[in-house]
Amino acid sequence: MLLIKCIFCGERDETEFHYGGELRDKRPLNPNDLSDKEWAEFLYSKRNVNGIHIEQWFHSGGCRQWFNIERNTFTNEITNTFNLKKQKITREKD
Amino acid sequence: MKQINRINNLGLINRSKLIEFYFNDKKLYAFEGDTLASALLANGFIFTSRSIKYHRPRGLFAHDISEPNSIMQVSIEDKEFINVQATDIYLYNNMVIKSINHWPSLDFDIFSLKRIFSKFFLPGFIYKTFMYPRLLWDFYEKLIRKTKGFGKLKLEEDLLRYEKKHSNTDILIIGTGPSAISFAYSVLKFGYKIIMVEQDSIFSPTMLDIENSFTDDKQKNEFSQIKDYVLKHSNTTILLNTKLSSFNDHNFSTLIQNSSVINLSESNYSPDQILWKIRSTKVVIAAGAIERPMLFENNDLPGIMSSKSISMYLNRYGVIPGKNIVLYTNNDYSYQMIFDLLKNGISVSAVIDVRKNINDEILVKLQKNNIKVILHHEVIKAYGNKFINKIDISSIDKKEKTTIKCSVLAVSNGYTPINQYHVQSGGLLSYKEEIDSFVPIETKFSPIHIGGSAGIFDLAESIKSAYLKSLTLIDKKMADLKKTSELNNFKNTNNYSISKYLPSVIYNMNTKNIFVDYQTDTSLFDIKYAIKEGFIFVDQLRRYTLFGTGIEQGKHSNDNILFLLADILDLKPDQIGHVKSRPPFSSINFGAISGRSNNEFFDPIRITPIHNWHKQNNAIFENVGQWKRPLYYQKFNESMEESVNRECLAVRNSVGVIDASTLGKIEVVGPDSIEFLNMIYPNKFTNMKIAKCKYSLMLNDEGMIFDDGVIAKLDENHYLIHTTSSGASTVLDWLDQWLQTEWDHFNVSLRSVTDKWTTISVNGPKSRDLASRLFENVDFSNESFPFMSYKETSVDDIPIRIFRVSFSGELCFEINVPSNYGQYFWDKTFELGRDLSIVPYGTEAMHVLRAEKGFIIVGQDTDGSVTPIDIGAIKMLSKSKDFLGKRSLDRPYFHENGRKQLVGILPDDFKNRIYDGAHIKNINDEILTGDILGHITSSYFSPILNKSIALALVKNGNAMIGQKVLIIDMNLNKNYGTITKPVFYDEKGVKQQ
Ligand SMILES: [Zn+2]
Repeated sequence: MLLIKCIFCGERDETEFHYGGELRDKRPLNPNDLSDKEWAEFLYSKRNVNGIHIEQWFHSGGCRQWFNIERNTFTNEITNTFNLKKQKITREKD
Repeated sequence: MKQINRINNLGLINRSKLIEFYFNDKKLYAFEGDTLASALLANGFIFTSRSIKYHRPRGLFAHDISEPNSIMQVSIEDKEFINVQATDIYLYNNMVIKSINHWPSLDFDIFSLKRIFSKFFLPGFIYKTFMYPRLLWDFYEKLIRKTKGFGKLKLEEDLLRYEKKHSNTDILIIGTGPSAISFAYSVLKFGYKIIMVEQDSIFSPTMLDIENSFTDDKQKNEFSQIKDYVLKHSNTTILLNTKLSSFNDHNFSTLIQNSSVINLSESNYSPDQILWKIRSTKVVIAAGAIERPMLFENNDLPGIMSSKSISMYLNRYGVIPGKNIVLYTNNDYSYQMIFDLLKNGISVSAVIDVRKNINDEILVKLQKNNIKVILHHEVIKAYGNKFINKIDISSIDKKEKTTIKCSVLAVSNGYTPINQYHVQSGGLLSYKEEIDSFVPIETKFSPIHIGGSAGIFDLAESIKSAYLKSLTLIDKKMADLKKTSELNNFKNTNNYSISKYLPSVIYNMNTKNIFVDYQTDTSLFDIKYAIKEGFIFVDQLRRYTLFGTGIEQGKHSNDNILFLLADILDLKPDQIGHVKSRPPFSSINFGAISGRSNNEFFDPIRITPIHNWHKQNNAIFENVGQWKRPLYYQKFNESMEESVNRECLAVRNSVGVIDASTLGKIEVVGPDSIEFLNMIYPNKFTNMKIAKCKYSLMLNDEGMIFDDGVIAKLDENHYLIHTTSSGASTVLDWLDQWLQTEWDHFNVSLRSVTDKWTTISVNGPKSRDLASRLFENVDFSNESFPFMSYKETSVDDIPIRIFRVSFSGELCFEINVPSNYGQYFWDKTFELGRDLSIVPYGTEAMHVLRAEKGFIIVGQDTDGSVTPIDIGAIKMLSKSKDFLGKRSLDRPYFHENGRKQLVGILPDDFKNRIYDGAHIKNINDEILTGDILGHITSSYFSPILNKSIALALVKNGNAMIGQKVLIIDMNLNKNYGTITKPVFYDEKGVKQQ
């Protein structure tokens, strides 16, 4: 069971959280501009990294805030935790 | 009362307290502090059980959780322990112990005769032989089951008491042996908090006798000091009778603690077993190593025991297994057993060592005591009926055979470090030739291994090396200073050796009688057989032969089998991988996992403020999520059907009331509420007027329906959205996720108010009359209070919210009052409605009424693959704005023919309802199985129509309206019915208007 550091509450057991999957691209502002293929790509495709990736977590049994962590999917080591503002910067770099 | 194998004044048992117990109906005596194993051994029971497949006589082999043979069924009063290792449970007065795998008795067992069934047990035989023809399998299965399996499951409730505890610490140390003490000493000095875990009931049982453990006085004194330091330190917590069960990510550990006393009194509620969950910054495995058995013919006879275990039975319990002891070994460490015996005036008859040379000091000591040492020899066969009585030995080079008599054969084929926790967590092992064992390759994520678990078997070296390893936890400069400052007396001066040994003549022996895994009765023959069939990968081989799948999970056998596999394939041990162990490390009770989360504590139960009234009025409840809701109210001796019919007709003809408090209610507040709701729901909210209500589906971005409810606009920028009873928390999470992760520019807050309001839903033609009596100041006329609108009022400053919506198809007012006043207004409603023939109704009537109207239940008529288009709600989808699901629903596929659509079905047999889930097929489709057009999602008897009705999802259903179909239920009964529109009553919706 992971030990997750909520950016608001500190370190808590994984059971207090809901997993929100890997960080995906922002939902397009005008989905109708996308072709069916591009929309399906956005909706269903995951990067599914073996190694370090960024994922979303929801502290559902605590402060009920969403935040992001950087986790190694092979070792489960959590290397970074950040709030949602920071996530946007990371996304742009992506 | 005599315990024939007990030695006076030795061990840590309470000799002043005699305990009576029963073994296979025979009354025996032992002392407080004995395990079942030591008690049986003390009474001379070497032969304790029969093996699982061949029912061969077996005896105690080990003293700890690696014991493969002595599996017992134990009961004490009403408490039952199933499949426990005799080494893993303490003895109590009046305990009743039964050995397993025998019929009719342990001494005389029919299934052991001539191995009648032996051919059933070849690896893979069941798969290859019995599966076809299928009919014969039923016959064979019964026969095989009789001969297989461990203990008997008690079918009554488990009366053992379980508890869970959570804790955290800096360092969790598994073990209390010499290396654990040294490590603990060091980290306590750094200021760390520690928890030390011991599976025995006493601290450091392997170091009972410090006096005799060390030859050097300086070592003796220093070790005594550090042990005292550890025991007295305020940062030390010790858990006795406890085993580490699993090591998980981020140093999260689960442990099982057995109570030192089994509680038999009703008034004492302390638990029998505790499941600990401990988070630490580091876990240290100091759990030692497990001695491996030697391989020869009949190496499973009772009386053949681990040398280390003989030492432990002697030192810990004052028990020796027999008089004429012979040691058979491949290493110097095992000679400790002889010295332990000698100290108590017991000699061994002979030593057979497979090596050409042994340690000089040991040799001198043995010669001094006139012990015969036979070097470079191996045991090839053991003899005996139910006990070992002699062995054949042969010189390894010359192959000359001699016979030696013995009653106990102590064996040691090297040691397997406890590496299971490391492997559990994904760790790798490397083979170390000098100790003939696999040791963990540690990473920063794995536990730290010290002592025997790290492959260090020398006492002094394990103490010093554990100390050095603890220094890796601190700053490097500090560590360098500390390296030589303490524990300098502990150096390995013994130079003990282990030499790898596989029997040289093994392949000419009867390999069916050489057992490599005692517990699963896996023989060398089986291993060779499986390898010949191509199962050459470790975990394949394990699944095929089943070695290591018993209660002790191959702790004694895995490495021997790996070495054999390597030898047969002509590979090095580290080229073949190793067994992938999984938690739990040793068997644990299901009860311990569930703890007190049973029955009413399994899941929280949610009740509405009217719950007691429901109970008093004979409500039969059903579970809706965590809620308890009345399914129907039973009057006199009504059947369920009669009750439901009565309730339905009351709603249709006069007035019925349902407690709808469980409906999820979320308030949405803020200047961007409209925009937010526009994205969340397919309907458009832009021009919605205050005090209006809208029904909407909730879709995910894939366009599928996942919840539904009514949205009311209470005020400017203030909405109340309703969810299904079971979907409330999912919807709240869903809204939160979008607000926080996608649309954080929206200024909107959410508040769950489900519990704040009691919802009294008044339905039926007389509901207006009743509502007017309840709130005289409110105008309930259709002009003032039209369908799908909302009014607020108050009674003595108590705020009241009234919604004119309908889920029954009747005129309906949903009256929301603050929960504290729920019962008051409920009672008042019934008081004022008495002369209107008011009736309370439950969820079943609610379902019938809504099905008559074709209103869906999300999750019953939809299943996560159903779109609004499929249920005929395409008009709900706004064309002028984006919303979740819109883009997906724009894909052509959702508009093409071939999708399943919601339709009604009128069965030909109108008196009986068809089972939910029944398959719908073309009328002339004669094959009962195969492709179907769809299935029945809801099916009821409608009392107002006096016929059965159903809703169904049918491929191209809309185009099939009026057509007859074949309906096949789960009992393969054929029914026929006609497809209709999904509405059966008041199609125009006149009544609810
Ligand atoms: Zn939090």
